Amino acid sequence: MNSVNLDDRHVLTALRQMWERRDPAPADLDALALEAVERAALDDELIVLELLSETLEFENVRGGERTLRFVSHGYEVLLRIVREPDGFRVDGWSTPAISGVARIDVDGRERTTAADDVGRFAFTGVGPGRATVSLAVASDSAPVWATSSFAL
Amino acid sequence: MGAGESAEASVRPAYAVAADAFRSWLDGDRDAMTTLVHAMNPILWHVVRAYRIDETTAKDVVQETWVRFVHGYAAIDDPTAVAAWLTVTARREAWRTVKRSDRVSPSDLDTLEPRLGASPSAEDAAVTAISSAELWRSVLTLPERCQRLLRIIAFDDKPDYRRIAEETGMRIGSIGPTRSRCLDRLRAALTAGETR
Repeated sequence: MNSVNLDDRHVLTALRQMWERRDPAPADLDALALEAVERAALDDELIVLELLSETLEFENVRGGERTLRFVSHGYEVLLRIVREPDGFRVDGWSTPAISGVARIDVDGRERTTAADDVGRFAFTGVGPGRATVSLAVASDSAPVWATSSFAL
Repeated sequence: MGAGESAEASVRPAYAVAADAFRSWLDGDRDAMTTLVHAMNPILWHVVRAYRIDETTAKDVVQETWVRFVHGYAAIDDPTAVAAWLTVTARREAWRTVKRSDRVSPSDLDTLEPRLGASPSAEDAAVTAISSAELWRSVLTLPERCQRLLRIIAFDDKPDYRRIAEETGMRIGSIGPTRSRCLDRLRAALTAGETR
């Protein structure tokens, strides 16, 4: 090996080639990685909606209460929905906190309210109808996050 | 994929191929993900295997690296940094795995045999002319820490010394000298092998 160049670059290149030969990446690694990417992307797009609790007291003044949990894109939003005489009260809480403006759309009718610095917000007298809640950092900015639609 | 395509990969550095693929993917070209995975997987594999993680677990770690990429790519401000981001993430995941479990086979590396079908190309031979068998024997004479460091450095174009220090328990200032010492020891072992 007298003529062999043993400078750092050559030795590291030789090491790289040696390991590539001795321990090559498995043939199915690309397919596995692409599957993982597909799955993760799907998880990210999917808004997980969970009904955490529900009490139904149809004839009472406070005619029922339920808590919905939405999880997607790294955010979790809890909505507590209470039926009151003048409509629904929706108390919300985002984690991590999205403070700024909360917007609720019920069958095309839109209302906004402030979301405080811990991500809490509340609407009163909304609904009934199909609703979505979205959160933005300012009234004129695009929503950071939005729920899928749910019934009020 | 695998070692058989190392000659092709050597035409253009993987980090450059990865950066272009990442840009295309960000621009909406879904197929560019295949190019990105193809360019980076061999590197991620060796970075993970440098931690003596068994094959099955190493596959999981590489997949987890890609999952983290999907969740965290928005934080990569500069597309040219995508290879470094993936490499660092793979090392972090590998290190977590090592700490979390004992699913590491200490003898794994020592018993690795060359895989048939991934035979060295003429190009490989021309580039190195260092006997692969002799190199392997020489690597095995090095302390484990040297073996790991050399494997990481051999596959990481721009190693992050701070993180390597964190993961190997070495002081950051000692990585450069350790790298030189390990290479010197390897050279000495190669030279000794030559005279045997």
